[in-house]
Amino acid sequence: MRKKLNKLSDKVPVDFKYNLPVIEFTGNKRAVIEGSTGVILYSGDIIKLNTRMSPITFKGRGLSINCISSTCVIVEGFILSVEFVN
Amino acid sequence: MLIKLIRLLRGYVYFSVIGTYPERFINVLNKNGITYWNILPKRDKLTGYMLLYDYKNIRPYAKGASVKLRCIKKSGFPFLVKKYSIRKGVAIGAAIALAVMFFLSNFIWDIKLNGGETLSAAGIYSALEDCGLKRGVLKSSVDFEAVERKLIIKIPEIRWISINALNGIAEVEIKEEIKKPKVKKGKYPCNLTAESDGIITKTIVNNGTCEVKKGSAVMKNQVLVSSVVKGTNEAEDKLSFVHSDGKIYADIEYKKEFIIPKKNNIMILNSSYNEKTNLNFLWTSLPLKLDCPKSEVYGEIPYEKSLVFNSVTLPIGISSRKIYGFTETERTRDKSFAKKLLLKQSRLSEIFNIGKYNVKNISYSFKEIKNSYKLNSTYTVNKNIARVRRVHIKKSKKHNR
Repeated sequence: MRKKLNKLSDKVPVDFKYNLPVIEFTGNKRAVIEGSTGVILYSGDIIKLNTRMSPITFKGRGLSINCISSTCVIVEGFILSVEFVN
Repeated sequence: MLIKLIRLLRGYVYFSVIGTYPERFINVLNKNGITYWNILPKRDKLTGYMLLYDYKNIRPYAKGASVKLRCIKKSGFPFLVKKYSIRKGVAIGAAIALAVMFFLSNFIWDIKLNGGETLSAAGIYSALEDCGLKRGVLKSSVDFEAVERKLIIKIPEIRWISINALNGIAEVEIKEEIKKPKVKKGKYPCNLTAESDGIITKTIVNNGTCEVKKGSAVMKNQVLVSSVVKGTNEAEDKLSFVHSDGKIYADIEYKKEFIIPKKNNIMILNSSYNEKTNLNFLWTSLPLKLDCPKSEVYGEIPYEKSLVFNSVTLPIGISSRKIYGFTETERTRDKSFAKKLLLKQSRLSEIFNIGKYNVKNISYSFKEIKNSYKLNSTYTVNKNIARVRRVHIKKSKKHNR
């Protein structure tokens, strides 16, 4: 039974399994973050978002939050780097 | 576009968030499901847009997040209403205009006819009026299906009709009935006879035996093409009857007499006239001037002008009637005038009676008789004079045996 469960768990997507955020990039102009729990820092150069895993920092120029909901954030601008801070 | 319109109608605010930690305020708004858009960081503050209704209820959240809210700009319909609330006349005027528009949209303002090219438009309009559909009538009082049925009964040439009343315009779609093609009657034996006296100019015989030649004179009812035909095979030298067919052209002479009396009574128009003017609005007509004709004999010249807006004739307009008086006097016609008049009459008659034929020659003779003038017109016309005359064949008893 346990073996079967282990086999099944291998087929489950990683983000679902470990409750990880999903980040989708469109070049370096746009990033869609699913699984965000709030905004920690919001400025034109740095946007720091809190997730269930760890805070994510977007660094760049002219950054802005295009759309925001309780779980999803769309960051737009010229993204230079992304940092996963523990 | 629709979202923008909804935002404008509900009213929105351009605000700024000032504080040490404005991000906390964003998180609080998200948790409470409050909508905002275009949130941007500007130096030590955040700016964004929010609906007026939400902006009124976020003060406690701002206090909780220890930030200060500043309203920068107010836009939308609620602010416009507040701005012009002092001018009550504008609002009342707008309300009255809306009420009038709503009231007038219940009437038929114009009738448009689509299709029915072969039918008379005036006839259709008058038939529609008889059925109860006319300009200015209340839309709810017209049963369009009943009108359609009545119109089809009234004008049998209509095959299909549909009336659509949209935006105060009744669009009448009509399809005409397709006429049955004429079916040639059975090929019974017949002769072709002369319709009138004349001299043959041309013969075209498709079937039958031609009895006349080019240049021969024929009399009325004379057989031109006989139905009796000899058998083609020499061995079968039998006579048979056929359906004669062909065209026989002949020069024929027409004579017509025109007479007019030397003296006649004419009505002379008076220089002065009275005018009756009415103001038409929907189904009502209000008189603007009330003048009565002074003369016993009078004539009217009606004149109607309606208001046209965006190629739609509105049921608002002015109709006037100019009423002229006449006096009766006796007049004697002189010779030249009488000749001109008679020639005019003769030419009019030519157009209607022999206009379709090839006219070869015309001659006029003008005469003055005791109390009248006379014009004799003689026309030489070339036309097909062949007319079908059926041949009745009786079979003898002997032959039947």
